[in-house]
Amino acid sequence: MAEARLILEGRGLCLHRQSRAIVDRVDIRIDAGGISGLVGANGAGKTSLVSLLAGLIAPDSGVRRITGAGCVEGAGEARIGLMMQKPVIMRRSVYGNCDYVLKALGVEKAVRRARIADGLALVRLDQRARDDARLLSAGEQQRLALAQMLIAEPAVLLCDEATSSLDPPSRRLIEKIVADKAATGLPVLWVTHNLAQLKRFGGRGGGRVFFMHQGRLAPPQDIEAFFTAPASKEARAFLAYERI
Amino acid sequence: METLIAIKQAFGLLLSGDSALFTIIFLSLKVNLTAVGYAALLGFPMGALLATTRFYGHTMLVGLVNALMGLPPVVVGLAVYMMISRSGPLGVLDLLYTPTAMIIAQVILVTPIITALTRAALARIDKDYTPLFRMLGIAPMRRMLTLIRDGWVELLTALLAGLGRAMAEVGAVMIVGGNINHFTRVMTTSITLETSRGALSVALALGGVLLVLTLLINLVVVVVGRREQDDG
Repeated sequence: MAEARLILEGRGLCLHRQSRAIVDRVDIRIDAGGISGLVGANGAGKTSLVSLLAGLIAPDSGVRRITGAGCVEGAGEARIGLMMQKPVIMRRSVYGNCDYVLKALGVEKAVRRARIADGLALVRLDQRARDDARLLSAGEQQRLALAQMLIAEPAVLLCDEATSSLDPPSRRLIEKIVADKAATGLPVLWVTHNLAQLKRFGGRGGGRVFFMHQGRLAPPQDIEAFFTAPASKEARAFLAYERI
Repeated sequence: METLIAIKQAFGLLLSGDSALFTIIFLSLKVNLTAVGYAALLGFPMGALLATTRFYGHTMLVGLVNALMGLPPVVVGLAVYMMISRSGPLGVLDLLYTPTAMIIAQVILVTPIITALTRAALARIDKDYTPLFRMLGIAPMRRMLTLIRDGWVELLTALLAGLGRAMAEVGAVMIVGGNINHFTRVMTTSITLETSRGALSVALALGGVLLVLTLLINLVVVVVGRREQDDG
């Protein structure tokens, strides 16, 4: 029987740069709905791991697999949504940026129009659909990136420091939209240094944390448990400063 | 005093619509625009290909294209001359001292400029877009078309830079065109000839037209570039 949902899985993922292991034998599986946090110090390998999972770079060894319902060979890539700290903003209108994504996925024009209207309304950019996307503020550009990902109806959403350079109102709006989507069953991997943000996600119930240190990934913990009883001494050290 | 008289005569020639003068101007435009058109047809795809693909020898090829931007026109003229002269491998085509020969020489000179500028511009955009391309699994051809569509301002700048080079060119077209009156005489070759003859009024009139055209091209480049900067 076919599996119920798409599974994004990495097994034994390794990535080396100048003979240094950036990602070191990482096993990770993102299948459950809800938000999973990925935390760790700068240089721990979080962005590299996300890039591997999103298929932006190929691992030196190990495999990345996308399996599950509705996933045909080679079509899995587009079902992974990725929001980065610096979004890719094309030299087009806000609408054109969204349209490009859906066109690439082969979505029909009428469906595209409806999905884009809904997506832009969700991120509160519907009034700016015809504006040049490069004229948007950083927060608006990140919201546009979120709309681009959501209208593509991803099976998994990866967010790499997606709100780290944004002001509190923009951060709050993006957090809310992502949390709402996660609550409907969309698996989200949220990379952040912002522990307060992680706690907020934990406060909504469920969720787990992957802690990464020097390229290695610790087994996941519940968000609450991660803050009260971190599993490794590196995680304890990472959290210690925030508690001062 | 002599200069003032020459300038006055130059204006007189332009305002009277002197047919010989305008034949030269129109032939210049025809040769240069045709050459730049062909160079763009070659340069845009080659630049886009170099911007989006990596292969063995890529860096060397990019370096070569960049170096070819500084090709000495007289050397190109000489090379084309040797190819199309009666004893050359393409002599049978009987192209020497024709506008076609001038276009060939101009295409050789302008194509590297358009290719190199296109590559540099599209590589910058490609770098920005790459995560999205990879995430969506965009095919190479669609990737190139996207870059060409989104980088149209830079491509226009490359095109106009090529046109500027073609308009100012004299050495190569003189060698392969022969500067034949009413047939291959263009503005630059005519200015050279008339100056050497001492017919400063014709040279000044043509020089003025050439200067205005060159300034217009550069003005368009500056305006379009600034507008794009303001938008972006």
